[in-house]
Amino acid sequence: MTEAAIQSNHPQQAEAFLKDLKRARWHDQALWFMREKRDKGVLGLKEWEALREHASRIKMHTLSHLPKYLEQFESEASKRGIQVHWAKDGDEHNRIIHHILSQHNVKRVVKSKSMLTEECHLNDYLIEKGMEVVDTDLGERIVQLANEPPSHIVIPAIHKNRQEIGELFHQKLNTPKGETDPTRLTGAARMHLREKFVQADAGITGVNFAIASTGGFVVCTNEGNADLGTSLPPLHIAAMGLEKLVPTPEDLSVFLRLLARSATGQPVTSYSSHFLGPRPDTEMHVVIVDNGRTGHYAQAEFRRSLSCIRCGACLNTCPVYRRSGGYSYGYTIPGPIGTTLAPHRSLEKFHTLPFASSLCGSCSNVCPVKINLHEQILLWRQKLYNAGIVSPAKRLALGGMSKMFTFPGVYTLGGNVFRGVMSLIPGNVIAKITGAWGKQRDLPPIPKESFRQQYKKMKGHE
Amino acid sequence: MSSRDSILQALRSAQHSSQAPEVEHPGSFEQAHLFDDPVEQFLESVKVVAGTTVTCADWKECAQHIENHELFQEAKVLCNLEPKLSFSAPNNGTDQEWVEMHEKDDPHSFEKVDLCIMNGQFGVAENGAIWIDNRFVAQQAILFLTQHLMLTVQRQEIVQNLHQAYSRLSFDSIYYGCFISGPSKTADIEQSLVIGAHGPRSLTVYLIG
Ligand code: SF4
Repeated sequence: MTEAAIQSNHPQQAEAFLKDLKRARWHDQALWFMREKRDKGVLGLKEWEALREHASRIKMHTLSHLPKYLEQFESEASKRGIQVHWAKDGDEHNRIIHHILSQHNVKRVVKSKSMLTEECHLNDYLIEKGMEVVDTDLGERIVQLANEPPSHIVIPAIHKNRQEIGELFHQKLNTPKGETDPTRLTGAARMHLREKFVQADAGITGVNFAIASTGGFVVCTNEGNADLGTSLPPLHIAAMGLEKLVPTPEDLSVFLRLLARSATGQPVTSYSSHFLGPRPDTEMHVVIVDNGRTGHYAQAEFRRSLSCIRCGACLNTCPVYRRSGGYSYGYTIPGPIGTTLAPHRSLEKFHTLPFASSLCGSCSNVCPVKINLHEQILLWRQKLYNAGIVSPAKRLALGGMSKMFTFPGVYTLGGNVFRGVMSLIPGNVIAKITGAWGKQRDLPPIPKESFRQQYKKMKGHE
Repeated sequence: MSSRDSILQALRSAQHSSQAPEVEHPGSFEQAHLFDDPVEQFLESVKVVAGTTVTCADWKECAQHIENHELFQEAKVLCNLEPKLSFSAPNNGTDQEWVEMHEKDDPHSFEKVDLCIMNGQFGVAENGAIWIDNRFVAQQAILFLTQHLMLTVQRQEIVQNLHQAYSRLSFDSIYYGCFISGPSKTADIEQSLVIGAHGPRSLTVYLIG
């Protein structure tokens, strides 16, 4: 399934996902478990908020000087013997990588996780040219064997339960029928992939952070697959979105402290691998990819979302993602961050995504680099409204909403009326308004008093 | 125009037209909480990330402990990259094979290694990570091919956090370096933690001094 093959229609896809209520609930809980692990990891760090603020400022600084840092990276990387390439779109990215591979007569490629190569559909491209391409991250290997795209950016097979994975491995890897034990299934994958690592002619990785001042880049994994995949064959190619830079190695400390804690609650990933040049007698290439990013960059009000470090925290916390699944978005990157990124590709095609949000703001609150995700989502709604792409029902609600946010007095008044009216409307009517993902759950009881009213009263008692 | 130039040009013209304010770099992060006893915290953190810790008074004690370790005794192929450690003749007969490492080695030749022992440069209290780089391991593949990994760290080489860690690192003359925090792991199947994904199935950290 490719991005182009999926027509993005979030309410429809979400409705399909919710047909199996038991599975939907399981998915919801699995993601919430991740969110709780994140909270525990974050609680251990007293300076968390200061660290987020710091990271956010480093990223904003880097973005505001992006061309300078890209040039610096290129020149420093070259000094280290890393060959740097530039690709304006996914197609050029694929062609460059294929060209390097074929120059080296590569037949077998092992890959570690890279959402960018997913975005560019590199696997399909190389396979069509006759190469074997094996994803080596366990979750990615699972979805690759099932011929599916990832449904989450950190845990690609989160939508599959152990029975399904057991059956898949039975068919593809010859594990005993009915084997569902995660340890034994992982063991089987380990053996299968060991063989692939040892046979590989080249390794492809993504880039978590590229360092402008020194050249070189960092890849973070728990499995060690990026290291195994690049330390055996004589060729390493890394694909990198042009926004992945940090100015200096010192800045890495800030981001490595935030990344794993936000993703899984771990204090750091098992391996933070610094690739600073080719091993003796081998080659290392970096492909810097635009693929729509310069257009995104030009829109100042959306620029902050280029700071994303792909931790997945906003997916895990999002009530809509948890209840509609990664595929409902119809875009390589789902969840709140996907919702803010996809419309840059096509506002028309992804017009339902800005509504795949309750605007609760939880995403912005957990984001380790403080991207104003929910505000950007709201901005997209306004753009849709201005472009006349929104359906009439939504336009009505939206028109009211944007006025409400512009005039706080209206917001306060609106809240009072809202609380009165909402308590009179039956739940199923509300679900119709909010879209398919609202069907699974009722709204919480509407409080009799607003926060402001309660606050005033409390103050009065002081 | 090359893709490189058109990308840089597009970014530059966006910089000018968007009139987004220039943001200053915030400098070093100074608000990190410090541990009263970073060594204790380091040992604790290694356990949190599923590693095992052993504290030894000196290198001799460390060598003895390793020789008596069941992973050592069961290993068929071993590699020692820690110059400060030497082992007496393997005590379980003659079927132990020791491999050496040279820069020109084919990394595939380490495929069958069961136990690798290596010196870590320093440890990080907040997350149990240990820094290693290619000056001490010419073919880093061994660290991921080996079934089990033992890393040594000296007590005086523990830093508080990653900020301190990077302030003592220099990338000038290395092509590979890694923070290793615990053994290889995955939770990709229903989020159950499984140790030993692709790399080592266990990590034992020896704190010396
Ligand atoms: S937007 Fe923020 S929370 Fe979401 S994946 Fe990116 S960095 Fe993580």
